[in-house]
Amino acid sequence: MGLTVLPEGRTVAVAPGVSVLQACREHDIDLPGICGGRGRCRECRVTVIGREVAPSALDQSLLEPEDLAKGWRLSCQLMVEGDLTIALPPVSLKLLDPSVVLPQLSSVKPVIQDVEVDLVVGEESDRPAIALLEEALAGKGILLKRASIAALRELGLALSRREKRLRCLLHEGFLIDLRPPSASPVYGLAIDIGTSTVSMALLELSSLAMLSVETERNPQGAYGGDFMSRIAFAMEKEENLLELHGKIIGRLNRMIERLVMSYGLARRDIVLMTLAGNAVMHHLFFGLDVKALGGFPFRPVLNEALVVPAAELALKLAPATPVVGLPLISGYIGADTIGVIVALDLVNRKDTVIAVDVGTNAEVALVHQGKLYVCSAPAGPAFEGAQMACGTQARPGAITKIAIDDARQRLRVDTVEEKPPFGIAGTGIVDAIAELVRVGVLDESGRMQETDEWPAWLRERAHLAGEMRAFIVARDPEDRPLYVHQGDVRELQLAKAATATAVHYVMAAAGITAADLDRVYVAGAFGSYLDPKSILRIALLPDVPLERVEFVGNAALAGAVLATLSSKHMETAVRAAREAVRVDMATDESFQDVFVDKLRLGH
Amino acid sequence: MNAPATSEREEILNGLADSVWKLDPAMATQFAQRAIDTGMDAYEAINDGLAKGMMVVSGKFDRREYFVPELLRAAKAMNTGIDLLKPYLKVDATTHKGTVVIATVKGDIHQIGKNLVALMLRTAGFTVHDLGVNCPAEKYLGKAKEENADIIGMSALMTTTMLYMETVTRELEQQGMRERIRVMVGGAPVSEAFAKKVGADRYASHAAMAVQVAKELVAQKVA
Repeated sequence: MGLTVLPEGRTVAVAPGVSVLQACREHDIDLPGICGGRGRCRECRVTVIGREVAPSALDQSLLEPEDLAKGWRLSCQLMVEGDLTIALPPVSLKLLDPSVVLPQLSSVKPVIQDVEVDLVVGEESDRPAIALLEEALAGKGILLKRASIAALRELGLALSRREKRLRCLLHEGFLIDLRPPSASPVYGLAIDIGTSTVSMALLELSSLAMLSVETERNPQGAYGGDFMSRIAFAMEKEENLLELHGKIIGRLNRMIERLVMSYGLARRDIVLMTLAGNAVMHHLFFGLDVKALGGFPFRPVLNEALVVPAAELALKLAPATPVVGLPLISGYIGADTIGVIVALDLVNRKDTVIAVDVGTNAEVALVHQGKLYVCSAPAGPAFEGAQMACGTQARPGAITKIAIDDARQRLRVDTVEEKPPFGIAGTGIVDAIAELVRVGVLDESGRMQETDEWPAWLRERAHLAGEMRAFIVARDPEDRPLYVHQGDVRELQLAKAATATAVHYVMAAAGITAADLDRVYVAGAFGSYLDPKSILRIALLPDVPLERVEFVGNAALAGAVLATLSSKHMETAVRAAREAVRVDMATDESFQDVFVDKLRLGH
Repeated sequence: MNAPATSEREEILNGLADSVWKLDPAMATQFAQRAIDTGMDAYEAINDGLAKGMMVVSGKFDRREYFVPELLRAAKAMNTGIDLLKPYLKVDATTHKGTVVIATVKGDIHQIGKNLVALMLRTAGFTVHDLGVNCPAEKYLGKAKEENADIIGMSALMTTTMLYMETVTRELEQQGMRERIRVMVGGAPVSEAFAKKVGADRYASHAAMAVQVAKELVAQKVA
């Protein structure tokens, strides 16, 4: 049976009785499945074209009648029986792709040693070629520990060609590759695997230049928006782990392929890859079992830095290319946090700063008097607009910013690509809630006030969503209201409280208050698009003056970049993982009181 | 002492109910004292006064007008009233609603939702044994046996840990306890359909609803 997927127009063969979501997973067609196909969200909806398909019971409960009439169906419930054509929801070409901020790097001790040596060959001696090379490297102060088969082959050929001057590429004593002397550049890749997106930076190692950053969706998104649902999928049967592993490797290979093509690179010139990512993404990338990461006590398979040759991961690089996984701090504080710590150089700082990675999982790192404290908390997908009444991902037409102008009595909304609004993205919901608290539509407890207590000019925006009070932010082109209702506010409060509680606990562990903070860094794909005024107002961040808040973009990737370029930064990563004080909040006696207090939308 | 006159009786019951949904322990104290002073039946004061107020809270929670902090404060107000009235309760089987063993399942250390349910159930007159978090099947079953529990309540906040609920229901089945013990489940990733799948009797989407569900389960058992 054929499933044709618009707008691309590709037709794929599908076995009967397979859901459209599953077929898309199999054929690497990106379709978000926030809940992992459990029928609890509506993010995987598609439009059925040119045919009547009776809506399932779940379609009827989750989609509006007018959308059902337009042919919308949940792809997780839609079975392919006979040929079928579907259209995917529009996806933004501009994915959340935050900037990568790097410090000034002047001279660094590189991770990859790139040296030329002269072999001293005795014509009458039977000393192996590798011993000669070892000697020549020792003369440069480099200890040769092992060599790749590719390098050994080159070594033999070079000697028989009587080439005695050789360019050697080494990683921690491992000879990756060997070639005739040249000044041609070699490259490294730094990768951050996030739960929703994957970013890859191409680096020129000798010049320390970052040539490009590409971001794509994490194809595992079709198995669930949060990493817990991916672990749940891996728990179903053992093959599923390999399926998830294969998905991410496949996507990275596609990204590598594109870089190789567009920069005209030779694969063997990519000599190092470094990976940051949360513990679950890290384990899935290496194909390590994630089941123990799915619950208390969250035991990782390993937490130290890991070096694996590319071939063992089926990455389309030269087989011996070292692939380095940054260390994890624990099963729930991953290599992404390490990346952030490296990027901001937290272990070496003398001031007092906190870095908050805002997202599905909140990660917090604080340094005070040279001591590093870390904590993480599951905030859930609320910040991404999931499970909100009119919530959506940041697609064209998603409302990303909302500002209430009291003086001119106007409400301004910004949408992605300035398309007509069709839903509200997570950042828009945060803005809306911060603004509604400011104008008194919401009180600090998060309760939406009776309409007659609203500013008069806003009262026409009152709405009743089922039994819940709601505020209409905008109307879509079909005049349907796009609103934030009382339940959305509560969902956001939970996500905000989880994050703020983690912040509270690291600050308590260090014995400091907000006044002690010299700087508050906001990291992460989602964080980068937040309005600092909004997140200060709802008390997602500690109570500091606005000018102390700094957005640092994808700091996890920046950390991976630094650890690819500079061995000092790689050492920092290893040190951070060993030295960081893990702050455990869930088992603290006051946890519930703190959490309840942090639900408040204000300081 | 004689029972209070109808109008005063109404006023006291309303006052007790209002004190709960207005989240006002001082008001609960004031009206509970008046109930005692006027010789009102303590059970009536709780059931037709304070508990009515909690129903209002439950409705507000359904509309999310109230949230976790309000639920906690309402329970506090209600418990303030109950504590005052308790010494005047005639010991009567009708005041004991049932026995519940509750915990967050093995692998999961989220506690707030479970704590709220435990609090609400206690407030509503259930005897609650809270086994905390990360609770294995043996512990649920052992306690349920020991206390002759009517209900086992399980909570999970993660898609990975909620699967454990099935381990517990299966164990109940195997030990031949399933007939005697009702199972209710809850937590963010849990749904009605999931509850059925893992062999639970009922699902409750929030703490106030859990009380209703627990009452119905006990009523079923009696019937």
